[in-house]
Amino acid sequence: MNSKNELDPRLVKKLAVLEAIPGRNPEKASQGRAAFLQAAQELAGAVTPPQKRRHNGWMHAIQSIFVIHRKEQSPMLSTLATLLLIVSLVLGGGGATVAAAQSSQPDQPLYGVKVLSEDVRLGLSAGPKSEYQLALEFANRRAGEIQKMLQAGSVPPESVQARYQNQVEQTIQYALNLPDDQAIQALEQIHTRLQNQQQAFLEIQANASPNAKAALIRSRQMLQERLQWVEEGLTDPTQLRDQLRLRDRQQKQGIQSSATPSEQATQESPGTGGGNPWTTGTPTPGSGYGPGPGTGDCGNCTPTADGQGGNPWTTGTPTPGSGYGPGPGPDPTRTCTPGSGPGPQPTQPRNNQPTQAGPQPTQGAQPVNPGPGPKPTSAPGGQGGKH
Amino acid sequence: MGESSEQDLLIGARNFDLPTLGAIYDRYSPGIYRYAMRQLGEDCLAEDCVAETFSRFLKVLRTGQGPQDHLQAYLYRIAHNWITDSYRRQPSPPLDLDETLPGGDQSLPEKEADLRLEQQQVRLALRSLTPDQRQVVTLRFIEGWENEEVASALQKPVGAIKALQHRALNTLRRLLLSEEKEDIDELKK
Repeated sequence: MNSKNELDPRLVKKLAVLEAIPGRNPEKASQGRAAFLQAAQELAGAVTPPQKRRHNGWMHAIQSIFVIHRKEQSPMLSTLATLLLIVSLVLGGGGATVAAAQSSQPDQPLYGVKVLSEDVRLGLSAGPKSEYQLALEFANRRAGEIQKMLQAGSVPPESVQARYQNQVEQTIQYALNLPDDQAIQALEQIHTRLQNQQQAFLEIQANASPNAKAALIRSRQMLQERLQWVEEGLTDPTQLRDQLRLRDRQQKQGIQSSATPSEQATQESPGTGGGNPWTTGTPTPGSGYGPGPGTGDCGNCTPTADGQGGNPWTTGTPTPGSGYGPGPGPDPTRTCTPGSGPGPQPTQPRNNQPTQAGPQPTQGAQPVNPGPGPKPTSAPGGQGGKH
Repeated sequence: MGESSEQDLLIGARNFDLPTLGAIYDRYSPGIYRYAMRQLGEDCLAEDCVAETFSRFLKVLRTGQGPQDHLQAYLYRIAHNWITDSYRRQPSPPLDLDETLPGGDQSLPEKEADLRLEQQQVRLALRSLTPDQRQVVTLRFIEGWENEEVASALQKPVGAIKALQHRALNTLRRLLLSEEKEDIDELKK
């Protein structure tokens, strides 16, 4: 602050000229006073009653519950407080609707709210553990809903069945997001749940209508396949993670259709050699699923952890002549011999990642189910066709 | 009057106690008249300002609102707003002299004319300020209020009042003193 400004005598003198003003006319002053008092007297008789007696008393009554009474009222603040109160009541009502929807069934109007609230809860959950627990709970709910509908003789809608399948897969995904020790525990839990659900579906199947039976079989088949995922994950979570990641990538890239892994097996074009790690069925002859031409040079083979070859995803018997099984490699010493038993253990570590530097599968790799077909040079299924 | 007596006046005013309202008028209306007269320069306008200020005060009391304290500052704020509106409503008056001057017994007509001319110049300079700057200068240097009182009238912190005052005085010095300097320079030549 420039103090010079305040003390500038010339400026003070200039402003002081306004101090000299003519005095107020006493007559006008008294007239003004009288007019003021008369107006005050009129207003004193017409002073309005307190606002709580007005027609908008309900608003003040609501406010008086929550807001401390103020003598000097602020219209803006009062309106704002009222609006906030109404909004909170509306939101509270929404919460009640969501709560009421939690027990609804797929054929009831509030089911959409229930499903939406589940998605929101899952989206808002923090951490893989809570995500897994929520997904498991929701998958269990879907199973319960489908079972109830089947017991009632109705067929669950396609959307509910698809959602059930997605939620089971999602649960497995979330379980695999956990550290290995926790993932194993989670997969065990999922395994138990899926088995229970499988059992429940089996019990219903006896008395189900023909239409319901189709849905039941579908659900049981889906559960059976997912149970196998889980079992594989219990053996080696890392490998299951890789497989699921690969599957997701393929779905995103549009290479594969959006079908489930079991459906992919039937959609695989012959000769692509892509293989299907998920199927429990027999590889299609000539599909390229298997050891391929049997050159004996396998740089990219994926031996199993215990040194065994074969398709890790199936326990079935390979179709004769399908190429699945030990093949005739050019070098007999590097060829898997059917039924020759376990060979030397591979030097590759247990995590069993596909690597160029990995051990040759013929060195100790043995197909689980060596068939009578041509001898493969690479034991693991699904890759040999490319070699 | 101390703070408590102002509080008493406010309590009486809220109850529309006529003697209290009369006392408020007697206490504050002369100052508000002077305040308005100094800025407007016309007694009719100044009377209007006083009447309107107290009328608005009554209306505020009627709605159950009004000041909790600082009654004087509150009334001056109403008057200041009325004056600012008046400036907006009316263009700047021409700088002329009346043919008949209300001269006092001891004042010469030419001195009176000089005074009125000078007053008009200062009023014009004040009108060029912002409303807040004008109120600060008027209350601080013409009415003789302290910074704290001005701050309560403008409902601003004292620091803000000092800043307003600084800018206002710079503007006034440029408007009022530069002309004076030019006149002196011309006389020297």
